[in-house]
Order: sequence, then structure tokens, then C-alpha cells
Amino acid sequence: MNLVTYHNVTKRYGSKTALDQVSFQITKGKIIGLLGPNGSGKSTIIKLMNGLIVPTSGEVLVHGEKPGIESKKVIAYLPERTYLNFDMTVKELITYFHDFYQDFDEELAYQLLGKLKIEAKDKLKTMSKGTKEKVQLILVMSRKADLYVLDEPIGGVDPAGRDYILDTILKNFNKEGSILISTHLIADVERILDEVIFINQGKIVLQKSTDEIRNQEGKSIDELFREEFKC
Amino acid sequence: MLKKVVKYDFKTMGKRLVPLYLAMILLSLVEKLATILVDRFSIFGTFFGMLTFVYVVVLIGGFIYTFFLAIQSFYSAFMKDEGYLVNTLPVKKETLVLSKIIVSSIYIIITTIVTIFSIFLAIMNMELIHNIGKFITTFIEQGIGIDATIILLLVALIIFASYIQQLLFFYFSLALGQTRSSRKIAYSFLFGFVIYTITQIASTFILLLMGLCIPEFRGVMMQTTTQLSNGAVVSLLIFSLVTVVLTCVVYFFGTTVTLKKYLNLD
Repeated sequence: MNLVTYHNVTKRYGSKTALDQVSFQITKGKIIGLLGPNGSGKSTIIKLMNGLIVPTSGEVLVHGEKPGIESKKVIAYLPERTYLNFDMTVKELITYFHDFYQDFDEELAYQLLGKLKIEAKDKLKTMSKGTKEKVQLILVMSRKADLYVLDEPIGGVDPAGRDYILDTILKNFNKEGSILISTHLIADVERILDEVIFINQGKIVLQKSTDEIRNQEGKSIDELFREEFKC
Repeated sequence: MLKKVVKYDFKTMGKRLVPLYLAMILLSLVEKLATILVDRFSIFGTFFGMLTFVYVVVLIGGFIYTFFLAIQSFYSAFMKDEGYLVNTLPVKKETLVLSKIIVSSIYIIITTIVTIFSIFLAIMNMELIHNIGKFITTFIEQGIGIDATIILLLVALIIFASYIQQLLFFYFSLALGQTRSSRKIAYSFLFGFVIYTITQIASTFILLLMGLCIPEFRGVMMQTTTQLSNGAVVSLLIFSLVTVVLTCVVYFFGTTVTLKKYLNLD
């Protein structure tokens, strides 16, 4: 069974169509890049599978069911914004994740924090934006989820930080599961992807394995992306 | 799961309210000190007046702040950035909303207790407190002629249920407002107005129905009698309580269904 299925999904915000008749599937054991320019509909796709918005028409299924309690148990979601309570300490946040997610590995979270020398007793509001984002990533990647959904995880990070984030993702994700990573910084993520989904103006324009693209097109994903989305 | 959600909501609201409680206690002690000073040195009269004004503002403000915080806590948890975490927890929306209600109710009770304690500290006169209690009891017993405890208990329950009703009214309005793609707060006010109007119409209709069905109330409505029997007063209070509780149930399910089926964190 597919992990995630989108069937003719349309999402409108007022008169603006964010997604138009989108259909695709996500299968197990893959790292998939959801690639497209800003405003192409990447975040809308991600929010739909997390139940943060509902489709105008069509169907979104996670493990064959509509997003709900069961899908939230198996999806580890990292939004593109800082979403944690700034008044909480890192330790409190770890306990929070441990309380609500059965698949959360507390020990792994502390290990990852230790490597970055982030103090568990520190409150989030005392940290820089970059450190807050790292704490969020650590919390999400410390889950043994079926699907990791990462929305622009390297968007506002310097090149050295990007490497750390991508390495953390690669080393710690549940190998039985899949990763959906949304970004417009193709060159940075290209090396880790098994499959790509290109999206433009709310429509899926390509879904292929990265090997297929390189063999058939003789181009890197970054080159193909630049060609596809040339202004 | 409810226990876990309550634990975190309780901590989050507590971080904001505990400083207020400490300020209330501290101010009451300063007020008491000023009372002693003004008795001996009349020069402190103006200072005492200003201090008493600030103290009363803080006491009243404490209730407003507790209520505002309960609304704000719901709004941030479901509709702001924190909503990306709260709405993706594997927890039922009913549990999340119920936790907000439970925690807000506990804190309004704590605020009430702290306020009473603070006044007690500021006055620190057992005789006066005893006399106030005696006056209320005698007033109800003589005025209505039945056991004051029942009346006080029913009135307290109605006030408490009305507080929850007000919270849920705001929750429901905000939940409906967030379904729109823009001007969500403005729409919340609009939906609030619609909900309020519908509730008022329904309450009037039920009250009319009650008046028609019970002869004693019919007499009051037709102005043929002005006096209600003891039993009728208790019935009226119980009826009001049931009406408020029923409204709470409608608002609660309205809020949770909207958040479940029409969440719009765009």
C-alpha cells in the first residue's frame, strides 16, 4: 500500500487556486524531493497531508485513510516556521514530544543536542533563530516515523548549517520509512534524493526517480529544474 | 491523553498568572500597611487613596486578564504558529478543546480564591468578614424565605457555567472565523454576532415556552402577580443552569467539528 495518495486534489484559497487536480503517490523507503519555485504549492501539499487544511475537492489518503489521529502518529512534520512554545525549555519540549509521540526516542534527542552543545535547560526564547530551527529538526528526527515531512528545512540556513541538517536527516531517519523534503535549493539536496516531484503553479509537472532523470536526460536535477522553471 | 494535555496547558497559563497572583498578595499587604499608616499619620491620605485605586484596578484586572489569557491560549494553540504543533498532535480535537476549558476554569477559580484571600489580607478584620457573610445569608433567607445555601450554590453554579459559556462562545466564533481565507479576526466578530443573535432568539423562545407552561411564571409575565414562590425561584435557577449548560454543549461541538472538518491553517 502507498504511504500517501493524492487523488485529483484541488485547493483554492478564495479565488486563487493553489493546487489544481494534483495526483501522486509516495511509497515506502524513499527520499523524495518536492521541488518547485516559491508559491508553487509545495507547502499546500504538505499541509494537506498533515490535516492543517482540507482539500476543496479530491482526496488525500495516508495509509489509506484521511488525515487524522492515525496519520499524525506516523508522520513527523517539520513546518517552515518556528512552531514551538518559546517559553518552554528544551528539556520540557523533549518531555512534551515523549508524552505525545510513542515513536519518540528521548535518548537520541539528547545525543543530538549534545553534539551541538545545546543546553537542555535553556529556554527556546533565549536562542537564535538558527538554534531554534536545529532544536525543531532534532525533535522531529528523533521520531521513528513512517514518513518525515520536512518543509523548507534548509531555507534560511547558511551552507555549513545546511550540511549539518542534511546529515542529521540522513543519519537519523527511520530507514523503513520515507522522507518528503520540500525545497527550492535543489543543488544542496540533490545528492540525497531518490525521487523528485516537480510542481509549478499548483500542478505536478514531473515525478521521476533521480537515476532515471540523470540517465535519460543526461542532466543533474538542478540543471533540469533550472531549465523547467526558467523565467 | 487528556491528563497530558491538561498538564501542559496548566503549566503554560500558570507561567503568566502566577506573577499576577504574587502581585495581588503583595499589593494587599502594602494596602494593609497603608491602612495602619493613614490611621496614625493623616499625611498619607492621598497616597492611601491612590494605592486603593491601583489595588482595586489590579483585582478587577485579574479577572479580565485570566479571561483574556484563556481566549489567547486557545487562539495561539489552534490558529497561530503553535497550531502547526498542536494540530498535528495525535490527539482528538475534543480533548484539546476540553483541556483548554478545564484549565481556564481551574484558573478562574484560583483567581477568585486569590482575590478573596487578598481582600482578606488587606482588611484583616474577622469581625467585618463575619458580618458580611451574616448579612448575605440573612438577606437571602428573609427576602426569599428558603435555605440560603441552595440559592447561593445555584447562583455560583450559574456564574461558573456562564463563564465557560462565554469562553466557548469566543472559541466557537474564532473557530468559524479561521475557516475564511482572509480577515479571519473580522469574520470571527461577524460569526460571534450571528451566534449571539441566534442564542438570544433561542433563549427568549425557551423562556416564553416556560412561561406558557408553568402557571406561576405565566402570572409574572402577564403582570397579574409579582411574587414567585420559593419553589418557583429554585426552578427558575435550575432552568437557567440547564439552559447555560446546553448552550455550552452546542458551542463545544460547534468548535470541535469546525476545527476537525474545516481547519484552515493557511
